[in-house]
Amino acid sequence: MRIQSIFKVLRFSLLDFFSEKSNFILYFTVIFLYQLLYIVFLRVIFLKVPAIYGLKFSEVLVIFGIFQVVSGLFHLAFAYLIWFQEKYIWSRNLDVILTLPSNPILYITLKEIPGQIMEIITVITGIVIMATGFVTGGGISILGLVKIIIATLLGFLILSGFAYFLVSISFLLYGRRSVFEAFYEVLELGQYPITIYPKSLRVIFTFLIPIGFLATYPYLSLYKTQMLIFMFIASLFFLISGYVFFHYFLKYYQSGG
Amino acid sequence: MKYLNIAFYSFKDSLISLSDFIIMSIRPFTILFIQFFLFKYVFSHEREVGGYTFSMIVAYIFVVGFISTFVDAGSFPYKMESSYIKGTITTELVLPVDYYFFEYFKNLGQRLAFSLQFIIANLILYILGGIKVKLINVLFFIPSLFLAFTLNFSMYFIVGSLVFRFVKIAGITEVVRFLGGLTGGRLFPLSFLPEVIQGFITRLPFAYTVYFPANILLGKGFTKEDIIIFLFWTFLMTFSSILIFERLRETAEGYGG
Amino acid sequence: MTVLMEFIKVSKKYRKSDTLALDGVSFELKEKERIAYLGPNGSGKTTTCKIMSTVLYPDSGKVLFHRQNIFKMRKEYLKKIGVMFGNKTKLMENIKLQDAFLLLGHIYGLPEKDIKKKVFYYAERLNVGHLLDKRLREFSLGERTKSELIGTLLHDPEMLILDEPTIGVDIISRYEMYELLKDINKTRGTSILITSHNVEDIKELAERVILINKGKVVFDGGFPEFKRRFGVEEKDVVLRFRNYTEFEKAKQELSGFVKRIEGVNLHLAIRDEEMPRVLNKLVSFQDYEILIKEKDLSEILRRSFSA
Repeated sequence: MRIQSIFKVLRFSLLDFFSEKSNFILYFTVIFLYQLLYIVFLRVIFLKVPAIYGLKFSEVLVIFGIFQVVSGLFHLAFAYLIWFQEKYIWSRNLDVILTLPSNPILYITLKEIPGQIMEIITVITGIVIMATGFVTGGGISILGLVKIIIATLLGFLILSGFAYFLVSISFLLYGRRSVFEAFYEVLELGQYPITIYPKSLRVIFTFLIPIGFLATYPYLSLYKTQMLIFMFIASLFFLISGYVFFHYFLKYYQSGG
Repeated sequence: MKYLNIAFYSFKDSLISLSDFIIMSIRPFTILFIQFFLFKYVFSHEREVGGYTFSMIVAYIFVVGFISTFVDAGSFPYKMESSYIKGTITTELVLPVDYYFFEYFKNLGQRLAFSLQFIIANLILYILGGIKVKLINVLFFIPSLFLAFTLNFSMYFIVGSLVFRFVKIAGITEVVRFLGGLTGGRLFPLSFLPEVIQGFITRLPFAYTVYFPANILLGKGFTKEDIIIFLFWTFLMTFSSILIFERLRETAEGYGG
Repeated sequence: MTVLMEFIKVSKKYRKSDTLALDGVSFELKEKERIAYLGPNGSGKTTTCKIMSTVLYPDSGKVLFHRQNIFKMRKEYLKKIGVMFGNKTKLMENIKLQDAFLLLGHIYGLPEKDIKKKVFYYAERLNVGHLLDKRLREFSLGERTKSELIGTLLHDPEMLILDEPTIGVDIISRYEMYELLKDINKTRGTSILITSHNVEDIKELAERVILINKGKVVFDGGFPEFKRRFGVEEKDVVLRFRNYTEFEKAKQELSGFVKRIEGVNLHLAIRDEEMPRVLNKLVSFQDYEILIKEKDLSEILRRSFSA
């Protein structure tokens, strides 16, 4: 299957998903209620304090929204990390994919998206939450909007680079599906501003596991152009080093047999 | 006796492999982590919120982490749905047991396995002096924990029974889970809420599944009225769940192939 | 022989698909009897098994066991019967098989010593003794099915309901199961009701056949009569010749059995009792390949009902 035909499959699965009403409503309910629960939690906290480390409720809401968008996109593209070992390494399906004239990760990602198509709802509701945050917080300029869109996409790219690392780790950690499940759980730490964590943790969440890039840094880049530049550099760093890392371990996999 | 055996083997059945188990145990701690740092910020501004000091709230989130994991039965309706659609439920329905108690004790064993890490965490916190409990409170807490387990299980057993009528019950399960998460006191003590809402929510059954037992253990005290409502909900839900199950299973049609 | 179980005018309608799965089905099952309960797909076989095991409730009619309504004494009744649904298991999958049996035995209220003794005996007979320390999730389909059968037999049921028990199971395991079932039927007088698509199951286990189609009983009689009526004992034999004169010779001599001719292939239908006579003739031909096919029961039934 060529990349182009995968795009066709993708389009159909998308149409199919939105036409199957009961499925759509179910996923919408699940995702919406889950998000609502954590927004209510936030609201209750804000009943007691006017701001968290200088951030008002509407601002934290925007961060929460960005988190939903980025993590939704990340799950859409990389949820397969959980079953990557079983489906591609143990069964040696990867060997077949490596013979194709396309980037193996891009190929697998596109192939796996139809199965995770419901994450689109997370992304959409995330955008709605962001918008609500902006509107209640007094609006946003066109320039700000452009900045936030770029920063959100950069956040996604940084995580994609990190996903390369994780795929590489799969070659080493045989039969440790739960490591990846735990990782997805840890990402949830980024749903609120990471400024609530102590400094040492913030360093880890910036340079080791890019949790900060899920939502907090994209939001801050709205006010600090340096942050946008920092994110751009970080995305290059994560993508390039992830790529190099992956190919190093791929060689290891290919020679190991 | 046979039901205790069911609980015992179900406990063993849940401890599949040690390494997976340890990694899985980390997962529920992410939310605890978020709670801890958010509350830390709140209490850096207020000495006391809703009758809690910071050290009390830390004890609260650990205790509640244990209780909510222990009493959880949210996956039961999903298990019913898939075993009904695949038809595997038939193999359980032909056993000479009361299905309610069969599943009750199976769930009990399973939940005990899944909440082991919280038991350990709470013990450590107790030894470090983070939780202060009186023996008398523990004596009241244990029966209230089992009542809470019964109440929560019965509610999800009712939802699970709906499979005989509607087959697809994921949507309603999620709504119930949401209500449980919101009004049970899992994320924050219900006393954090404005009084009007509090008065209403603390009378709903979910408040008795998590919030109420936690308050008993932490020595927050309780009234005679609380006990009466707690017993009322537990008996009502248990009896109606058994009744509804028997009624609906008579009308069942499918069981997969 | 006394009557063990009675089905009296049992009907069940599926409202969702608007089909009458059972339409006034009546039959009796006597002690020690071995019945094959057959029918084409969707005829109501599995519905019958499910009603018989109290999983489904009938819309009308009665099901009696020792002259008592099974739905009014569910728990006691379930203790007296053993039910097995093909490809499904009542054993826990992540604990050792031995423990899974122990739990099942406890559920039926058996003392631990008895359970262990029986498990050991049956495991030896079915050749799964070496698996008792392993977990069910690691088993092959044959091993799973045999384990499930042991679980079904632990409490010495008076009656066995086996719904497609051998589906997907290899031939050696199947024969091990047949031997054990026949033995239990003989020594302990356990009645057996089995549904299957496999001719061998029926040949090995059934004395009596009940045939159901579109929710109604269309045949109830001994196995020999069933064979005659539905041609179960016929085998499809194909002779593929490489030599034309030999082909012509065979065509003439076997004319009574020829069903169809395709090029130089002779398709024959031969009844079991005629097999020796035909084999004797076959010896005199040369230059051919022979292919013998066991008939698929569902195929036979489908054909006889669509005719």
